[in-house]
Amino acid sequence: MTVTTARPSSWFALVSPIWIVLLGTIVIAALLSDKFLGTTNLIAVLQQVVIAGIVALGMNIVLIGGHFDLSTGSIVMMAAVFSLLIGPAGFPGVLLAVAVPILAGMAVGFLNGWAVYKARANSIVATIGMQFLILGGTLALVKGQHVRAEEIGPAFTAIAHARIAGVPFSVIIFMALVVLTSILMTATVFGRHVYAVGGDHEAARRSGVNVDRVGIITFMMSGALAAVSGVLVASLVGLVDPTAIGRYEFPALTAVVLGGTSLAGGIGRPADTAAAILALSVITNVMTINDYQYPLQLMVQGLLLTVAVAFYAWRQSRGGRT
Amino acid sequence: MTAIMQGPWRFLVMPPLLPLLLFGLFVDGFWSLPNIRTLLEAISTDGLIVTGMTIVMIAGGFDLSVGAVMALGGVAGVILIPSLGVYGAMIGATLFGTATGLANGALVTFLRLNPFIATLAMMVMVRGAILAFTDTRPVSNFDDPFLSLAGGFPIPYGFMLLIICLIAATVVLHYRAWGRHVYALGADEKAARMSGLAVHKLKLQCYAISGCLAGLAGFWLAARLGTGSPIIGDATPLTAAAAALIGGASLKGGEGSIFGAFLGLLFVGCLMNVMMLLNVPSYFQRMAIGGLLLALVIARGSLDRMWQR
Repeated sequence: MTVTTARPSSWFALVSPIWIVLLGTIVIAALLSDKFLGTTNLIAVLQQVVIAGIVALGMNIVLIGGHFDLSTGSIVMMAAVFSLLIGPAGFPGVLLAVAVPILAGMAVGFLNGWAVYKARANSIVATIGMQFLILGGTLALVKGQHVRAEEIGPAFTAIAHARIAGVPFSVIIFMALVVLTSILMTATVFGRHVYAVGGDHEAARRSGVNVDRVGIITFMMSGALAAVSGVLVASLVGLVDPTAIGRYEFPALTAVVLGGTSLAGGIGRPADTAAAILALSVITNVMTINDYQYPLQLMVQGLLLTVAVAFYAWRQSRGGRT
Repeated sequence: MTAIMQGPWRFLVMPPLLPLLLFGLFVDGFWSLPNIRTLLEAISTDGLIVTGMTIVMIAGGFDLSVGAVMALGGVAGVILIPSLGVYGAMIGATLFGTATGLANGALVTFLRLNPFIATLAMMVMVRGAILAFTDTRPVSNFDDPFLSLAGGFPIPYGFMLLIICLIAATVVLHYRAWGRHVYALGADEKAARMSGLAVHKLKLQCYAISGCLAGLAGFWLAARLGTGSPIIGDATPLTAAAAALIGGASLKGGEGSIFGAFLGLLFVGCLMNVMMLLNVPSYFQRMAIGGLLLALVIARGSLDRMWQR
């Protein structure tokens, strides 16, 4: 598990199996339902991807560093609530409604990172604890009530709803973030450091990488990305029911693992995660079209996660490259 | 008795417990008989789960699926009562729990999955399955023989069951070779395998015990409410982990004890009970559990590092 796996040498290693899975799901979906390939439906699939997809990108960065961030779903909710409470109208209002939640997300990420890297807390348990802390705190803030902004400026609504050449702006933001994180992880020193920390913590430290700083930054990025998702939720719906807002950690984690990111860290690519969340969205979409309810979709996701983890574990045990 | 409270952690078990019990003195109604009974009843179901969780954690694993398995035990039990009778249904619920526990164990041992991820996936699958099966609606049974399981005054039957389970777990963990093997497995899996322990079998047994106790706890909870709900228990893995951690278990395995876990359980139970008496809104209760867990893993991580130096 060396750093070189971040830069695969053969083209076969360059294309993760997830892209074949994505292609397969699209073909099967098109065969199963003639509604699937309609333009409106395809855009719906893409739009469905955005929220969990951005969360997954952040989770992916943290996991490449060797840790888990399960607090992201609660950060989405917190950010959406903050955004609406600030009142996204007028000149400073819209700006604040975007900036404050993202800063808050980064602050939570910093706490997560500090707990995991400085205090050596187990990341899964620590971030689940954080999840409850934030969920409870946000619910207490709004006293368990729905949150609706008194006035929402058109500029704020436009963040998610504007369309460029028929493609919703939220989808464009997602695509841009996929490209940005891919560049960050493959073409910058910071990215290589994250792979190094995840690949071998001790070796990275001895070769002069500031492990704690790099690790804390990964958590801060995850928090910020989750907060971006939250702002998009607020802009998309304009109303947040803090008790009903979906849990994004699980689909995001499933996507990250499905995309081939190693649970031990050091291996994984943001673009593969994006492909995996698209594949998941296609599956969910077809199940919805064919009238399969949420519980069954939950089961399928759990099954997919198990199969994916088992598949990659099996491949690694054969000594194959990931 | 050496294993009962071991490690540097033992000093940290008692201090938080004492102020809480004193704090109880100043909360109206804490020491009243009905409230003590409520407290015992609440910790009896959670306690079964904490027992299983502690065993899994000593073996170096973790079980995030206990909440979903608890819901499964309740739903399956209530549905089985008309055809099998109360005790048959109880065995049925326990078997369902054991089966999911075995599945967890199989994922962790044979597929070599990370225990957190394996049990997280199992949690989602079980939750999805019971939600689909019940059509997201709770199932009820208000027959006397079923509800009477939750009886017993002043000591609820559930608490007696818990005490029996705790004693049994203490015996197998601290006074039998099996227990020493579990500690060895948790402390160093490779060394345990090299010294000839049947590592796979041990792990399977630990997860099966956890699932079995979670199923039983779910059945008992359903008896208390007269209802098996497919949505309960999402905070259960957290409270159970918090109790086990306070009791000296470590996420790295090889440490912890049943007696410590019982003290941790008392602490968490009293905390929840006091919050209930003070009418603290449920979201603050969630915050308290989350904050407690976070503080515990941070303290534990820092403490471990201090001890290594």
